[in-house]
Amino acid sequence: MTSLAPTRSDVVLRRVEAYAPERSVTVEEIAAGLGLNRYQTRLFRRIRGLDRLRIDPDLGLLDLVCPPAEALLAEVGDRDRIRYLIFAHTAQDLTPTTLVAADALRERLGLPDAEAFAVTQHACASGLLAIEVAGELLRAADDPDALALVLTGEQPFTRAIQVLWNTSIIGEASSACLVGLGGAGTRVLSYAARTVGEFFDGYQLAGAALHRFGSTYHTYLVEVIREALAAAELELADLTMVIPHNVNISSWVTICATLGLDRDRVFLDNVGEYSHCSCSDPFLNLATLASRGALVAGGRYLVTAVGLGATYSAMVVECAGS
Amino acid sequence: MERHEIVEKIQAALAEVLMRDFGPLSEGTRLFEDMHLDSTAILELLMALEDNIGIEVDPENLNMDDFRTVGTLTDFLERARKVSS
Repeated sequence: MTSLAPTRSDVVLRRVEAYAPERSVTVEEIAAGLGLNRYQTRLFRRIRGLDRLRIDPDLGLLDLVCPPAEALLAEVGDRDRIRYLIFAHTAQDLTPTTLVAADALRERLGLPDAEAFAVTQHACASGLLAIEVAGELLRAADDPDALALVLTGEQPFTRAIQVLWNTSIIGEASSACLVGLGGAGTRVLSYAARTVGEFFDGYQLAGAALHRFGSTYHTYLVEVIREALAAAELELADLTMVIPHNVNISSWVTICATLGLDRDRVFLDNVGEYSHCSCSDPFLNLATLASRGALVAGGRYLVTAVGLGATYSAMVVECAGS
Repeated sequence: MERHEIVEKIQAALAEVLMRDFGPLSEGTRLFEDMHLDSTAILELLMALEDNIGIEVDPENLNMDDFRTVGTLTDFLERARKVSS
């Protein structure tokens, strides 16, 4: 087992934007195409709480990832201060070997001086890892005003990575998050992550290992949630809300019961609207709450993500308001 | 529906979900250890039983202890039938 020491942080999410394709399908429509039987389909709606997913097969990868980044960059006065473009994604390769997605994004977004690279090691938890990596790089930079742009967004290009057993179905969404040290925005108070190597098979987990993954999922996630809260010197009661990953409703029923947390304090609206969108969930959910004017200035929020492989992560942030 | 009929429904649903016919099962048959179901396959089995018995369980109140054996699952389904009716 590998744990990153929980950290307190000076990282600020200056701005968060998210995007999802307009085209959507119901669980039943997509299940038929994926060859799921009627019981599996019913399970996804009745037990997992999925309803619709955004999917647009006519969009290219860059067409999916760029819109929130372009919206964000339109508000950034000095793009030269963006020193790093970090593309967080779950699948290790999203493009043919002749094309580096992070480089293509840097070019399309007009950031020729930014160092561009991908972070995938925590699978669907790589978005939160990328925020931590951005903070480390910015602290090491010689310019206190330097910025990093963290992007997410990918399309599940095979059935094997679109259907996670009877647990979730992957949809499409993307996000862009501008990261700086200090300044106005959503302040990261702490971050905790733990990788349990026993589940290294990821999508290929089966048999006893899959059973253990399912039966320990909540335990490991609750542990990192408690670590992140302790590092932020906060209690569960201090949180305004939990902003979860959108894997499904039923896992959060169990997590809430384990934590003694009221379900009303977990933002679950986007599970039915988007389902699980790889690394984008935390940012998509933050952006949704912001667009509703529902983020409380000074409120503390717990953000979570879990990646196959398996990494459990939690981040506590203090919001500047919507 | 008599208890033995519910056990038969479970046998039929297991055969459908696992795509194998196991023949008659005792109430002591363990779903995880003996039938090698994982927690997600158990839920698929539950959906099949909802369909075949004509009940709807409350997804908020599922307890994996109810899925330990064919017997505990039968107890659970008998309780669920009473609530549904």
